[in-house]
Amino acid sequence: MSFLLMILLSAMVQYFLPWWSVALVPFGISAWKGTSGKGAFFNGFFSAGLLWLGLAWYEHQRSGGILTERISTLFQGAGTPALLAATALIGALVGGFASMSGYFLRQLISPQTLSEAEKAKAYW
Amino acid sequence: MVKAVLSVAVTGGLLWLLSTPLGPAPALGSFLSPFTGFWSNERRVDMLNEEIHLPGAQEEITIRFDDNRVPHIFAANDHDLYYAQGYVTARDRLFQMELTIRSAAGRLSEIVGEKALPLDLYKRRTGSVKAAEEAWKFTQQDEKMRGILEAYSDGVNAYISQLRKADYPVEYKLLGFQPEAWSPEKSMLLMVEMTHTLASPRSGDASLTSVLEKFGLEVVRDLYPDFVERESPVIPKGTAWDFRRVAIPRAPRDYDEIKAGGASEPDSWPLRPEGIGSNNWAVSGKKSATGFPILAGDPHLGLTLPSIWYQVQLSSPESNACGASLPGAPCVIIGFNRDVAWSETNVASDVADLYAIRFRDKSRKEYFFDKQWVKTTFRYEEIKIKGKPAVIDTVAYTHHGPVAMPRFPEDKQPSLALRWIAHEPGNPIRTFYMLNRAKNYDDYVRALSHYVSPAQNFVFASNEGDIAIWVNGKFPLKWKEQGKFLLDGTRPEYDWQGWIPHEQNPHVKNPASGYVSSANQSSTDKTYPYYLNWRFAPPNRAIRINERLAAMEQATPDSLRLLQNDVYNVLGRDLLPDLLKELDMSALSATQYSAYSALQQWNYQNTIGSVGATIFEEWTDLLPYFVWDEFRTTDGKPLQAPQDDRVWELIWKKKESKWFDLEKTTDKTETARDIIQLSFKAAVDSLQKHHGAFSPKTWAWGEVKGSTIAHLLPPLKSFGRDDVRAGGSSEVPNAFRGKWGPSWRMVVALGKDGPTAYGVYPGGQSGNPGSPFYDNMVNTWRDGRLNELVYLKSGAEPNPRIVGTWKITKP
Repeated sequence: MSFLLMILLSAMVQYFLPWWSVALVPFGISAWKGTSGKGAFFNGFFSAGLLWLGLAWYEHQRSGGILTERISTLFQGAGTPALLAATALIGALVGGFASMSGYFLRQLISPQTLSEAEKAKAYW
Repeated sequence: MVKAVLSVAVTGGLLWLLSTPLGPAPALGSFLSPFTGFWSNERRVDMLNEEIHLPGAQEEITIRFDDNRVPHIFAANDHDLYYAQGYVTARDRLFQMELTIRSAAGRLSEIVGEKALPLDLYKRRTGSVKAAEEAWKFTQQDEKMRGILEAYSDGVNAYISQLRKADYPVEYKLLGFQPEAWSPEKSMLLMVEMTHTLASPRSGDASLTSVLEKFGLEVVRDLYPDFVERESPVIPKGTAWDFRRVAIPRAPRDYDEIKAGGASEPDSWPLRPEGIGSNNWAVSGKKSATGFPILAGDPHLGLTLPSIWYQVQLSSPESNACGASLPGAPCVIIGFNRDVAWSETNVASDVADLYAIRFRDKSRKEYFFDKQWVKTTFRYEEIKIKGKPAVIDTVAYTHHGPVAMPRFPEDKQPSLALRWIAHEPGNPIRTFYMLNRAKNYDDYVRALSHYVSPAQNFVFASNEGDIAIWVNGKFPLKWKEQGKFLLDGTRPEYDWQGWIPHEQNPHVKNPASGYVSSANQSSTDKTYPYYLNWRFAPPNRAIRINERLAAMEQATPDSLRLLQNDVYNVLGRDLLPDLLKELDMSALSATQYSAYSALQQWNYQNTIGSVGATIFEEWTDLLPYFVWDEFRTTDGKPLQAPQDDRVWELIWKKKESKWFDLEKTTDKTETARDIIQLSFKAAVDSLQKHHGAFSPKTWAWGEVKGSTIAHLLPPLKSFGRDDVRAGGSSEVPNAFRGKWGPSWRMVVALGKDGPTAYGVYPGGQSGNPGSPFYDNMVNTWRDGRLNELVYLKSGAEPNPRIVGTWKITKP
């Protein structure tokens, strides 16, 4: 649930704000609803990574990829797949660490302990 | 606690790292983000049918796009016409416009860093921005032109202001800066930049003065003559001058006694490569198949992606012009309308002179002129540098112009001030505005009278049957050879003392030959009463073009297209047999003999497959170096050598000339024969060294001559093309040689009810490297073909090649 929310909200925020806004939504949602450090990291990592990969792939497909080709040649001839992977990875790393930071900071300020049952519910 | 600090630190670190440019690479975060980075540049590739609301539109504007994405603009008034031109040009070429202007203003360091500083200093010290400011002040007196330039500028800004960061052209994202607002002054600056390109301040005055100092006037007269014997001038030999000339100032008796004192133009000043120019011509109805004139033009400029030209049709109730425009300036610059067609080539008139200045002291506050001390003014130039503190340069201005080469007393060299035509206020857009609306020869001449610089040969044809060519610009009234050497800045008789009256600029209308043409060669023969310059482009292209035009009958647009693509080398025809017969066959190695045979079989065509062309070009490049071995300063720097044509003349007429003797061989007196032999061997060696052993494949002209059309920022290799194999040379009509060449080829066949026109440039309408229309015309150009140009009579005329329509209205 928080994963989907992260993707949707993040897309909206990034449309209006500079690139670093990729960190904002994972940070905020994990601070609000995060349940574990690891969980927060992966939520952020995959939501941001998938979003960047998906959108980059969509733009690449839609335009015939002429510019992707030229840019990947500029980057030492890396190739389109490598460029897509780099894009996804950068988004994912920033998303993941921001998300984890959100969770841990929240824990620092007002620790929340959940019962096993609540954990399981939040997970699903 | 630890976990929190660690994860925040890692996140912060990542954000910082990804926001920082790494060496030449952009900051990766913003560049790779699909929301803001280059991915989103693929989005705006094709917007064909749009309704756009712009605050500046007075009435409804229609822009129709053809299959090459050329905009055909239909507006109800001039304001809307040029507003829309600015808008749509910015849509396609914003980065190019900005880069050109930053280069012109000496503001490149601000975006690319310290490496551009010498170029920026050059632009500041030659006073480019001041020239543009004054041109704009002058132009504002012309209410109409002021309105047009403001409308164009508003159109550009309307486009910029609706851009989100994600929409910036990809080059902005690579370099990490933002578009700056446009202004009419920037359009004027573009015109100054054209003068920089075509009539640059580096015209060799200081270098030639060093030659004068070393060899004396006699030798200079002999080796650097004011006219070339083989010339086929723009205004045909024997044309009568039907005017009473005005009084020409008298040359000071001691003008050849000036000393350069070791001064020479700095190497950081860009040099114009010799022989790069343009062609244009028109044939009259009696030489054409239809009975109406046909006009052709191909300006040769730097070939880049995006191209220097942008095709456009500009239609309002009172005008309908079509052709090539310069991104950054309103109107069509080379083109046609219903009734007339025109094109330009450069005139190499000497309109940049250097004056030796005597300052009173180090402060440079006063300089000596006409027996007294005169005050200078100062202009402070702040050059911002990316990643470094700004540099302040104080440029002193004399009445001659800016002190472009400041020296200080301890240098024992004179400071040199620049008197340059770019500083003469002009209203260049007025000329093009009137040409866009011209109906006949008289309109054309009236349009030309407003033009100042860079001087151009304006060729013209009309459907009334007239053809003409004017050597046109504002030319200083000079004494003979004024400005061939440095000028004494302390004496008034060295100043420019007036102007050649416009109606006395060299021109010819409807000559008996049935054609007019130009190819940057000498403007006139020796009978023209005024001095324009001693040096023009070599005559080879002009000779070939005039020979072909003289023979042409029943011409069609295709005959003119073939001549634009002609690669016949007249220098080869006229010179090679004389070189070959001097070669001593017994002294040739096997490879040299193969090269000799290739030359013997050469048909004088500079085609891509030709090996003879490769050897001839290399040989004639090297030969002059052997002849002018004396032309060095005492510290070994090369002096400006005479033009190549002087070498060929010596070979034809004076084989025993002392200049053939090599300085380093004191025991031997070389003649032309020895030098021909030596340079031939050197040429073969050099080709072997750079292109491997002799073979028809590796030595083919197409492999050797260069085939790159680079992006405006050449390090962005994949934004350019390096596979543009086409024939040519700087000395044949198709002057494609590496980075320079025919930047826009146009042929217009006039007719009673409007023209049929053809054109192509090596690029594409879109400046977006992600667009299929970024370089789609390159292959057409390379293959020597032309596109028929879509020329609509009205905004509603159906045409199968129209693929989309924009409607622009007020919000």
